[in-house]
Amino acid sequence: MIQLNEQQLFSIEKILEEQGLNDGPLKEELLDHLCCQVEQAMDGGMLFHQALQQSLDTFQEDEMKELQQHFSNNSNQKRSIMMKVSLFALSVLLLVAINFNRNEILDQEPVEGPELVAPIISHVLLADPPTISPLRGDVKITSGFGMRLHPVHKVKKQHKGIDFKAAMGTPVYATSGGIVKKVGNMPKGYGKHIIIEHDDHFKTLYAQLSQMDVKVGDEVKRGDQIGAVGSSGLSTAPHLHYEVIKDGVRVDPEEYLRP
Amino acid sequence: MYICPMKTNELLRGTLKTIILNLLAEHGRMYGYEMVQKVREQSAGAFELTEGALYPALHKLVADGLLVTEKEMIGKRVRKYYRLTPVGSEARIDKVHEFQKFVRAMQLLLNPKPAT
Repeated sequence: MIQLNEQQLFSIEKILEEQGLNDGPLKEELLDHLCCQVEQAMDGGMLFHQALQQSLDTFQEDEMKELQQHFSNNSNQKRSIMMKVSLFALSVLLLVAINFNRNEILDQEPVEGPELVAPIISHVLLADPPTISPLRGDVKITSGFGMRLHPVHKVKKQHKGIDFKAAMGTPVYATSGGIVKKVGNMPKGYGKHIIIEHDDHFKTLYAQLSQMDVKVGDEVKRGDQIGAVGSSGLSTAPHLHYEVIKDGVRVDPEEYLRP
Repeated sequence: MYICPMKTNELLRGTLKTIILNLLAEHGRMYGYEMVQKVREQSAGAFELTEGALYPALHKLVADGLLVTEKEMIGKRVRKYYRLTPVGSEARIDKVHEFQKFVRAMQLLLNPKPAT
């Protein structure tokens, strides 16, 4: 039975750190869990980096999101309190504004009211699935969604997105408007990658990038350039790996390439 | 034939606590990864627990007083073992009975006998 050495342990710890999973109540267990998985794969004859990649594939992409939610529950509660406080403040402001307008209405056109209300409503109504391709011009999908033979590991695995063949540096565009949720780098997986949240249901992920032009919290519109094609993760040639995540589940992106 | 393992879906999630309690009743103390392995093995590969479902469930069971934990060093890393409390042992019996009742009722619902 193989046991990981200190250096290998350290590199796994670092990956958890990259994922933002290096503190909180699950930290030690997740580390042990990943280590066990890697050790088992190495017992089966794999090299460390192959074993690690295989473990990460099932680990990070499956329910990492859920784990992160579990971690951030406390801060979410705080955020929700903050939200309630600010909503309250906003409604007070609105009431004041409306009353103010009522008083003024005899003399003036009511201008302030509708403008104050508009942004809130449009935010609530913002429900935007992706409707364009992340690359322009003639695009070639080299690997579809679903079960496939993994190009590096040579085993049957679920492909969670689609791959577009494209030259290094080809611009990558946001497929719908939204907020940039993650700008990350995982050299042994997605490489440089961006996640955009479009609404309560849809997120898109762009991976293997050579360049990333946005940062977390940026607002993007459909068709904005967010980065460029590369081969920065576990990849054999420049390509764009693109995922569409609907309600936390990966769906076939080919269904969302056009309106 | 290739059987696609059932990842922690809604059905499995609803029974996760029963599965954990039962595993611990059978095997004494266990750590998370060991549970994933055992579930895979005992279900002939049909069930695949994911970390995202397993660990929050384990922590909830500890918070509810059904499990206790103990830590051990494995080389340079910490391993956390879980074990049933007396309350947990009782809860396990109830949960297993409840589930068996559920399965029988579902079978009646899904395979109604032709009227005679």
